[in-house]
Amino acid sequence: MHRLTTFLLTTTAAGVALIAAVALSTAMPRTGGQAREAGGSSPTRGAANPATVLRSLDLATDSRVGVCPGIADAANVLAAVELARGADYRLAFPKMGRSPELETLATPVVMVIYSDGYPGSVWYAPNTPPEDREREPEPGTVDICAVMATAERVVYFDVPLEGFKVP
Amino acid sequence: MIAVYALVVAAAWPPAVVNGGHGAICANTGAGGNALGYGRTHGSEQGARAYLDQQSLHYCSASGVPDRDDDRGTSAWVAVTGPAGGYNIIQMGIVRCLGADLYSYCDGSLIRVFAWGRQPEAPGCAGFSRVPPIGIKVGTVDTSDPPLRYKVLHAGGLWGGYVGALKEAHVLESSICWTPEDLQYFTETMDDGDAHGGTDSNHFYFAEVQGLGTEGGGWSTFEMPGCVTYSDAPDPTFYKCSIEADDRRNMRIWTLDH
Repeated sequence: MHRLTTFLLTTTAAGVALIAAVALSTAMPRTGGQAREAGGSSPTRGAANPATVLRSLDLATDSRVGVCPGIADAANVLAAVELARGADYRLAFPKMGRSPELETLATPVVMVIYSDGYPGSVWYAPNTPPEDREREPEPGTVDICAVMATAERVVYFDVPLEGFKVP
Repeated sequence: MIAVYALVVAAAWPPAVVNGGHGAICANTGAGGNALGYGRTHGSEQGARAYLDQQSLHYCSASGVPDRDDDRGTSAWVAVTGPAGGYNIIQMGIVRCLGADLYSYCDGSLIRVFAWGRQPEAPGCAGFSRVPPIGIKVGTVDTSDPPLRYKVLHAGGLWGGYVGALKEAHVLESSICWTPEDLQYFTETMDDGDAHGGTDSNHFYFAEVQGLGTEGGGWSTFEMPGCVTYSDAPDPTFYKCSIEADDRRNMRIWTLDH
């Protein structure tokens, strides 16, 4: 709850909004059968992402999420969603940095959203300083494992959660 | 070119032996993995290629390592990299890893992988998302194959990863916002206790390293003066890298069991 509060305070200016959002979060249903534990940033729930843009997936039955590691870790997997068109990634994550590899995609993209960091390893460039090989996700962000229609996978680190709403 | 290469192979290549299930302990202490090999800073690179041995990469047992001791990973790559390393890389190579929590493809088999990444802190990348080089499996390695040429190449609006003449995977050039500056030919581990390259009796080879300075231009051959000591290089007592004295386009990497 502490990190939830921190996130909300940084993304809303009005105390009224804070109270409303906290109340809403207590009633928020679990996504894809995954129970999100305390920690990480919190999405809000609302109608900004219509089902034609974004819909929740069932981690237990949707085989497309299988190329993403750690999906059984309910404490880390915030949600699994399907974006109807990859090019619409900023409708789901308005603050996400530019991602040309998504911008031309008219096909669906499955996204597994990790609240406490992507659990897999990274093949760093060989000239990476050792201190840069140790990573902590930035506050208020999530990591996303995106699976294209071709089963190709791209992982995004430190994606701002602000504006994302669980469908 | 191939004939010359065949002579090199005939003179220097030991018979391929599949390594696996060794009971050795490796002393690698790079908690986040480390690299061994050769890198060349040139300023502008449009491609990198080299022949890679197709033998199975060495596997150490993980006994005695302090963390993630069920996970093992070792790899060999040709790559083009950008400023300050990190995620700014396009790489094509072979991987052997175990631990499905690392990658879904880590089942202990030897596979081909293409990976790319970018960091928004790199010049030219402000406002872009952060992509770590996670990699995608593009095929399996037949360890009975002769050495094959692995390549990263910028052509036709794409950065592609090739094995021989076949493009196995690619990323849009518009996704690579950083400046490709360096050529890299290296082995890399995932974390503590992993091996680099081959064994003492069966070294892993990079051969005929080449770079491409201009898109659409010709490949240039160069000699490697010596292996690179990266900032987190593995202990040279056990992890070996050698440039062939009689042909400095060839490099061997291996790990001593102890």
